[in-house]
Amino acid sequence: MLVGACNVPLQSFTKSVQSAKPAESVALLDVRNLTIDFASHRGNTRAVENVSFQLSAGETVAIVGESGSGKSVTSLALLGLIPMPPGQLSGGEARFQSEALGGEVDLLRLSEKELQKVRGNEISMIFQEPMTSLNPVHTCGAQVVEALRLHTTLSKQEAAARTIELFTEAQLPRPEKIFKAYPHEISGGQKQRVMIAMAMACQPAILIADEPTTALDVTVQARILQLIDDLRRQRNTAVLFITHDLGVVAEIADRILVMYRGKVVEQGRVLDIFTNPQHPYTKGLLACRPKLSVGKKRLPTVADFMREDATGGFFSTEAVSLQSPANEDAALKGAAPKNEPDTAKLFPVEHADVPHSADALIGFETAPLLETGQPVPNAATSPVAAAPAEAAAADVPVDGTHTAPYHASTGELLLSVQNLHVHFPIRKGFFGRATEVVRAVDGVSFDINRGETVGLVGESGCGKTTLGRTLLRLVEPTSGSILFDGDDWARLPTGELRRRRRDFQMVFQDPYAALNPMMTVGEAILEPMRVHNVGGNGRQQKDRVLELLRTVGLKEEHYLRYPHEFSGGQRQRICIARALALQPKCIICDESVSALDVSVQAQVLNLLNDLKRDFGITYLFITHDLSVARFMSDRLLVMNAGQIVEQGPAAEVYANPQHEYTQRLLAAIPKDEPADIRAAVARRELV
Amino acid sequence: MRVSGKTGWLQNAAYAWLMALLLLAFFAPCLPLQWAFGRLDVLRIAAPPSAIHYLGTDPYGRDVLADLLLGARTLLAVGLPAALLTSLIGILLGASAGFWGNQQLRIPSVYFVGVLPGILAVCVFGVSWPVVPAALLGLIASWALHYFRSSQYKIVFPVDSIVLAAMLWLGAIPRIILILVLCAAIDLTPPALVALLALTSWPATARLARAEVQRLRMLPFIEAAKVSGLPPIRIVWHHILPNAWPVLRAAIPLNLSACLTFQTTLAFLGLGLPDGATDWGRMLSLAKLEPTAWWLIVFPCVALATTFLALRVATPTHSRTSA
Repeated sequence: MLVGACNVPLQSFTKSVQSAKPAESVALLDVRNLTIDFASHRGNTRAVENVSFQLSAGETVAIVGESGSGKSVTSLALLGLIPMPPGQLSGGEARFQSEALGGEVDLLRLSEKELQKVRGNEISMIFQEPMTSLNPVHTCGAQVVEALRLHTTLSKQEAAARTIELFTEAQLPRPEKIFKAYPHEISGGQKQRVMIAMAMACQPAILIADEPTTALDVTVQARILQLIDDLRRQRNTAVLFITHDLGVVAEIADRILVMYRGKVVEQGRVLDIFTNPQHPYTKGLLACRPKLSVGKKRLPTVADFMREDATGGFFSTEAVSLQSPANEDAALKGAAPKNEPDTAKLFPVEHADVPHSADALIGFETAPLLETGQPVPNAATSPVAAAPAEAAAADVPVDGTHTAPYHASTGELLLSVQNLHVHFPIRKGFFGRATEVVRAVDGVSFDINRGETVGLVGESGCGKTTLGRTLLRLVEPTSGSILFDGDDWARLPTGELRRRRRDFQMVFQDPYAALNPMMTVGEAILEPMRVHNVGGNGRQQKDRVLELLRTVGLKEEHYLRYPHEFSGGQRQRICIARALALQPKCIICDESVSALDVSVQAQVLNLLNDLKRDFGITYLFITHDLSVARFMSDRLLVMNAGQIVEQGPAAEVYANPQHEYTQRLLAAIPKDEPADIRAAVARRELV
Repeated sequence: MRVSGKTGWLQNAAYAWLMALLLLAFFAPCLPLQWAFGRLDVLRIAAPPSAIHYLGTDPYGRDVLADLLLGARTLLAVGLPAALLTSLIGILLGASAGFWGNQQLRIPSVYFVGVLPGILAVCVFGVSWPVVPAALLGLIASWALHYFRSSQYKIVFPVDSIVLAAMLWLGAIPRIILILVLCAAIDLTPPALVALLALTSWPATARLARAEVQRLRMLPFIEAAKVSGLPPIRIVWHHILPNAWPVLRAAIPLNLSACLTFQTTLAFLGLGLPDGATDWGRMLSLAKLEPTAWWLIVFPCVALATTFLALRVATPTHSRTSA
């Protein structure tokens, strides 16, 4: 009954959106009822079902969905790039106004020869991985020249000149130099610019961008998005932007299609989707992303908004207690100051007990000074440090409802890192002495108190992962000390280190690679307990494993399963259970949710916070995602080029970033508040 | 990683041939053959195949069929242990080199004092009465020293460089010449031949194991095992080797065919096991005495070729798919 109740309005609002669109003569691309199946030994899987949308010149349409939603398959199908023995076109058409082929054609039914005239010429594509989509044995320039000469009649010299022009348009620095550079010689962002230059080489009518910024840092992402939007405006290109992250497209898309399990569940103008989502899945997707502006107690997950029944239909289960995210945003915007501290997320008890005292402030201020990495003796004696302390005191509301100090900890020191250096030799001199080194971690000092969550943020290559691995002695430190629970881990002998490892665990980034594929889930969790001889005899250990499985939200019968039977989120739960098995004092989460879909990410973040409340675990949360760091952390360390450039309470750092790098980082985050979107839409209409 | 599970008729035929060879060789003495093993039929010397001698006789009047079966016994009795030993040495050395590299293996210095002289003594003076107990005593003493004074000075043992150097030197000398020289120098008994084959043919397996282990040891689940505080031996045994096995198991049939080739070559050159041991290689060399006796060439050759082809077909292949 519920299914029917949901399906009817769903169709109706999709239709209403289409009819509300300004009536255009003929759309550049008109996809109707696209349906694609994949055959496997288990039968046919419907990857894309009845997808219809239109794309006009100069318009940006974003397809948003999680992994497996069919968004990439849709775009690949338009270029005939789906291998057809496993895949099969079960219906639909894609009408494209082609110049090269003289009139309207159906992209899905073109011959390979005709498709070659369209691909790269009239419809071009940018892929997710700039690292692998350029051929490493040719120079960047040669690859663009090749693409140009394939579709135009330009001579070699003309094509080279045009390529330099394109590189300039793609805002590549020193285009002549990049022309002669091999892909490994330039950065990831520059590679993506080369890819964009190549894609724009033949002035395509449509540019398909398949997750073009997912592999890039947030500051680079902002610039690439800007570049794509600029090129669209200059050349009136239609852009089909495929992404898993709604936030990315908020400012650059005109319309959004939300896909789920191969179906378009909702489509509409960007502002409508963000402010007034209709489908429960869209609502869930919007709500489960950690927000920069508000510290929420708990992230809602998609499951809070909808459930699925056996037939694949879904119905809304929106809880009354959960506010619609848009309303909440609007309400909080006026009510809460921007620098509202990260409130008592999941441990109200500790927060209520710890008074907002001067001790906490001094504790914070005696942490090493940011730029120098040198410890400051005392807040009281140092006028430089005292000033921010007063500022911090003034900023924290003292009205009782937000009695949140910086850290919800007991104030007892658990981990103290002092002047840690990790250098990797890259060139050795005559006597085997390193003459050139990479300073991956360059004089880092910080403290973590018991029960605290400290976020470590920074862009790729800043040394945050090396730092985390060095703390666990997976990488040997060059100098400095790592005082963990009273001992200097930098100097523990290997045998002693192995015995002490039970106190200090790690959850890795890639849940697909972090589990031994040859071991059952039960064995994987049991093994460390056996080795360290904790948890009693064999039977008690096994009971404990079952209990752990329940704790992390899995079932007892999963004990005998192998990792390949689980999804990414479930595997990350298994990894968490394995880390918990030894009852550690501290867990390092190294990009632990980066590889997961947003809705799964929300579940895992909630789980981590639940575990912290229940077991009092201390986390060092390493991430490149500032929103996730904001949601998780009590305190924040910002890292750049091997050094910690800023540290402080999370709310403080976000509200009032001191260091220029932090400011840049925060400014680059895609803005998806309704006001920002409205401004972006207005901006686009002006142009 | 997926191991191709489909077996076609070719694979089945290969398995059938290898199984038949193994069974026939094992049960050869019990077979009801007309001309029993070792009996000479002086009336029919170098006789073509007939109802009496199904595959003919050699220039000494021995039955070719009986010799083939006896030859298979010799072949497998030496070749199988040699191949297994080769694989074992190769996997152990290759996996150690790949896992520990040059920096990671730290051996307490007392072991160098107590164990190395013992190993050297065994190498120089052979396995003899006062040497072995002395070496064992050294081992126990160094273990005890290490155990009771745990924080000892440890020496970084560059296992990777040592294994690579050994592979380089073994590879630099043509193997056939090395074996010929060694065959001439020592008295060949079956165990000695097994040792000789194994000690000269492990580098190929070691190279394979080293590459595979180097790939695996960088994977997050190995790091996770390290972070869990698992001892290195357990990481290698429980985490690395089971995952490397789909690749490494291909080494065993390949080693077997390599060992069989060498053994047959040596026998053909008359350098293999001492007289009395029948061997397919030696049977082929007898054909030189009777150039017109085609059956002396054809049947051993067919047996050899079929065996090698069967081993090649039976070698497990695997295809790595990005899961």
